[in-house]
Amino acid sequence: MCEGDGVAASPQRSRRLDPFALPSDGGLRFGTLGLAVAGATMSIYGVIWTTSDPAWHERDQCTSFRWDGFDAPPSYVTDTDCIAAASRHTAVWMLAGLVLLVLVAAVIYRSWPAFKLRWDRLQPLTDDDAPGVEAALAELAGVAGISPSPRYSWNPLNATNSAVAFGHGREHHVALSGGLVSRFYADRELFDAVVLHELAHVRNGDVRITYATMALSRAFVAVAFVPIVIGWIVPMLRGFGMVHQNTELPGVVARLAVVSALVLLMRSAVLRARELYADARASLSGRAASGMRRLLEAMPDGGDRRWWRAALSVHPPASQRRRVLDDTTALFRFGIVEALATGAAAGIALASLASAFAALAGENVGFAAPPPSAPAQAAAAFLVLLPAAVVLAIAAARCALAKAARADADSPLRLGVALGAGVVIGGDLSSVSVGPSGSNELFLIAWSAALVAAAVALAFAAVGATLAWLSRARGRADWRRRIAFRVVGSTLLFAAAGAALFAVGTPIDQALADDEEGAAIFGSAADPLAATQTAAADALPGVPLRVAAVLAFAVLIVVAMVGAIAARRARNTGMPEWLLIPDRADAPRPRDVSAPAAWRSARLAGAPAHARVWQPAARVGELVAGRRLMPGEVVAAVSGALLFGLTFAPWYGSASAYNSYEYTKQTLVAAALLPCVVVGLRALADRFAASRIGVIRAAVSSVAASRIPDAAVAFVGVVVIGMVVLSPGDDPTYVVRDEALGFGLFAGVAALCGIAGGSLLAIRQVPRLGRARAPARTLAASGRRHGITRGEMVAAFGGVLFTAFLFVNWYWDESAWHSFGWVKYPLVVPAAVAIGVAIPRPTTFWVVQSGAPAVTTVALAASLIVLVGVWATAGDVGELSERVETYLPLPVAATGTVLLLAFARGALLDLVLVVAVALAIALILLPTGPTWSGEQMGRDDWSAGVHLGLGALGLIAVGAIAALCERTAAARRRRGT
Amino acid sequence: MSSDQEAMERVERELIAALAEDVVRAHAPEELPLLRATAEAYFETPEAVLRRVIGKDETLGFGASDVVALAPYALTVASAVVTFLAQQAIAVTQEAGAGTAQGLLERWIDRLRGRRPDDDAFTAEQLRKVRDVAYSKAIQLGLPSDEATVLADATAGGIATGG
Repeated sequence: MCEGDGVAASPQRSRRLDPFALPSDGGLRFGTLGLAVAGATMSIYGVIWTTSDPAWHERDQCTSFRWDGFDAPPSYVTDTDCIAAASRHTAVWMLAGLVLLVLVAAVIYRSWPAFKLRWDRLQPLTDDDAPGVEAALAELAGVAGISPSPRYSWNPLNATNSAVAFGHGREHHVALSGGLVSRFYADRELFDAVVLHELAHVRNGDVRITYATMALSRAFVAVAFVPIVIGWIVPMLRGFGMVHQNTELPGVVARLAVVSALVLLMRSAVLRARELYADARASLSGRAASGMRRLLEAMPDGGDRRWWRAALSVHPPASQRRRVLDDTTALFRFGIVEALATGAAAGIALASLASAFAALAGENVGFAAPPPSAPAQAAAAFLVLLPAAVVLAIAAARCALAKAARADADSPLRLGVALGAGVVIGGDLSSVSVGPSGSNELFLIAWSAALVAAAVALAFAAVGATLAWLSRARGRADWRRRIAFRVVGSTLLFAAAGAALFAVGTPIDQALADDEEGAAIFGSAADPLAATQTAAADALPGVPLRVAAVLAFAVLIVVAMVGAIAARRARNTGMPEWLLIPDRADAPRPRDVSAPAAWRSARLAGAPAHARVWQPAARVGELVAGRRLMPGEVVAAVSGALLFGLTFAPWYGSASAYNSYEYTKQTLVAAALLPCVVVGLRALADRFAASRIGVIRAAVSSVAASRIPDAAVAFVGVVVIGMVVLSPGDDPTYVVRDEALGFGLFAGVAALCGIAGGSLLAIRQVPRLGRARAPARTLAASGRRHGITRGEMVAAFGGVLFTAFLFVNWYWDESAWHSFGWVKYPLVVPAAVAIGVAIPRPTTFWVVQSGAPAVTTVALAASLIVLVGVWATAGDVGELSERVETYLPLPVAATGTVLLLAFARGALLDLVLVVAVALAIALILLPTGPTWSGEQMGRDDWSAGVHLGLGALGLIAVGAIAALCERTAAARRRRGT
Repeated sequence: MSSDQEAMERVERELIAALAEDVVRAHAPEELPLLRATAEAYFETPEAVLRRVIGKDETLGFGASDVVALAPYALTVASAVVTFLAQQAIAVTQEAGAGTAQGLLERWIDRLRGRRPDDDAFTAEQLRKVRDVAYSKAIQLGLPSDEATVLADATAGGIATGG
């Protein structure tokens, strides 16, 4: 078969994928690391300067106090020109830090080979010292395709069987140990294998970029990390000037520590991947394959290393390396941890660069300064997100090939989510805040979701482009040409969309914050809504920018959909000849990529995706198809969701407890209405379309089949809705009831109709759907399947009961004030129950299943204790916020670690529980403060209620996602796939 | 450094090389082509053998760390043995009041090279002490007990049999 004829014939199915046929993401990941290091350095130098005496005095002179008499409040006047000049000084320091970093790194990089030669006592390898070896090395360089040959040196006193590649620029060195050279005479096969592995590093371009990155890391430690740590721990440095606002420094140092650890872990991960590539390259030569196999089989596996050693090791376990000799699909995988770390590095770099740009533009930067302006954030985002986008696109494309070939690989959805989340987390880890600050959680969530969605769309676009063009390319060069336009376009779109997000995020967030602040200041004396809405409208970014952002997103999503559809059309295509290594016959067979049944259901929901790619839309479609929902029902469900959103939004945005009270009830009604409408429609449709069994008969058979829990669920639904709508209680003080009552009546009647229909349907469907369809039984079975203990179930059930009790109290309360207090408790309790249930589970999971990560477990527990301690000892909300901002990275990092591990191991339920913990802690403890009082409800308490409501909604959302996934998994198991 | 010391050192190095060569020839003959260069490097920096400069997990290394060469260890063990023998030689010559330690060492070298009849044979006690010194050094170098035993036996055996 000529190259590029497309479909691989059956003999090819046993051959390995060629990992070098496609571009690798290694270089760009190193580049992202470099950006993060550079950004962190600039950030640190900005901190060093802004905490110094000269900077402090300089800024002090920019602000003057103005007193306009007793009738007017005092105010501060800021000289913007003066601030701009001060900021430019900060920019100079940041740039100086960057220049210093680059200079030191360049010196290290340039001098490292000479240093290594001297330090390791390496001497040139001559024919006099080792007869015959020089000629053999020249021959091996030819086999590896390297010209000119690297410089060889050796240390005769090193008795181990090892070698190392190093160098700078075009100057490459390969150092051999004396033990290895002795193998030349005793075991030529082993000698060739090790040398070809090192030459593969040279050929793969690892030497230059690896040592450049390491030089950058070392320079970072020398010129940034050490000074900031010393500035924090040595107060005697007053002479140098780092004296002001030293309370901020611990937070900076903590963030810096996390960033440094992240960089170190990322570097090690990339280096491990490069080792696998070198093994694969070396094994392409028949001379090295068997030698490498022997060496790796003799080598201790290393898989039982402590987790932190494994994470920091630059070599993968021997077993993993051996597998690459048989099956290279591991080189096509890109885990979510890598994606998250890449995103985090990008986020760190982004925040720092944005701050630098802002300083250069004369904006106010430094502690307590507003976030960088929209243009600064947009420029930084575009610069940083572009390489991150290329990494993601390449990774998604390679994963798609691996998945289509034979292997389990992470889906574009997970990769996109991880990278997007990484960018958000990385931005938060930086000492400069970019994007929404979190003053409005709803907007922050929406903004983050948009960023993640953009990353997911990019990943899907890359997958689509890869699979769609796979069969048409006549060779790797042709393939690259064909795919380049689409992938490059997608990455540009992603970077543009991300830049637009960062550009619009801060102004909108600021506007929303002003809205809340204005409402708090003016109270009910004025019309805060109108005033602040005007202010918000003024502060919003311009229409062209907003339109551009929407357009970038729209085009990106369209490209993703087109790519996915094209990928689906190419789903029957096998691997083309040029993607396979023409050697082995003992590798596993590739998977059949014919159309799976899941695709049909995915299409029902309009999910534009390749069927082999895991994605929620496909799963939703599958469920929809499994339950045979009609299009009208889907429309009703979507409408219900919109209705819910529309009701929720004004509740959240409401500035007064009175309005909030109304909206709260409306929201609850709408939430109940949503499933009722769907089920009710379903009941009617089924009743009229295929009436095969009488309702009474069905009810009897249902009871006979012990479907009592289902009946109980339906009954409780009816009762709750009835209570809300039909018996609204006594008139509460200060609350205008008519509107709420009217809406509630309307919604409640509709809901009752839906509930009634749904109940009938549930009874009617029981005999046909079988036991697994019973919600209560499914829940219990799911709990058992996931190892939820009985005690946990009891705790959760107790929480539900208690919540119901509080709900009834809330409902019957006469006063809006009290009612508002009650509504907090029902929201707090489930979250508390979730914490009680959730904390032991991930901890147990972590300790039992992942080896012995006692350190991290202790770190997690300690961080939580610190957080609670900080919360408990703060005097007021302001102090609390300040402290939390300083110490937040600790629990975030610890929780994030556990969460990542759970996610990586596919322990979805654990993930959900951990998320619940994080949400509960963040939303319940942090914004509330110790002065929370049920009776004296001020603005803060109202805000706390909003936070709590959001927390509960978050719990509901993650629970729903978990349920969806569990049902999908169960359905898959039933199908036997 | 006086000329006597230099001469003594030269003799000691010659004895070390001869001992190590015996051991390598017996147990790792494939390393003989490298022995000269290895010995030169060793005499330049003897302490370097204790450092595994290309480690197990070095960046862009192969990742292996198993010891496969004998010569560096043979040289180091031989060095310890020769130091011990030199001390013995000094004691013997001082006690006898005739000859020099250097001369005694040279005779031992001739024995090792097979150029001299077996007229200065070591006693069993002396050989046991030599073996203990060799074994201790091998253990100090981090060799496993079985390999240290082999190396110590080979070194002591080389002295006993004169190569």
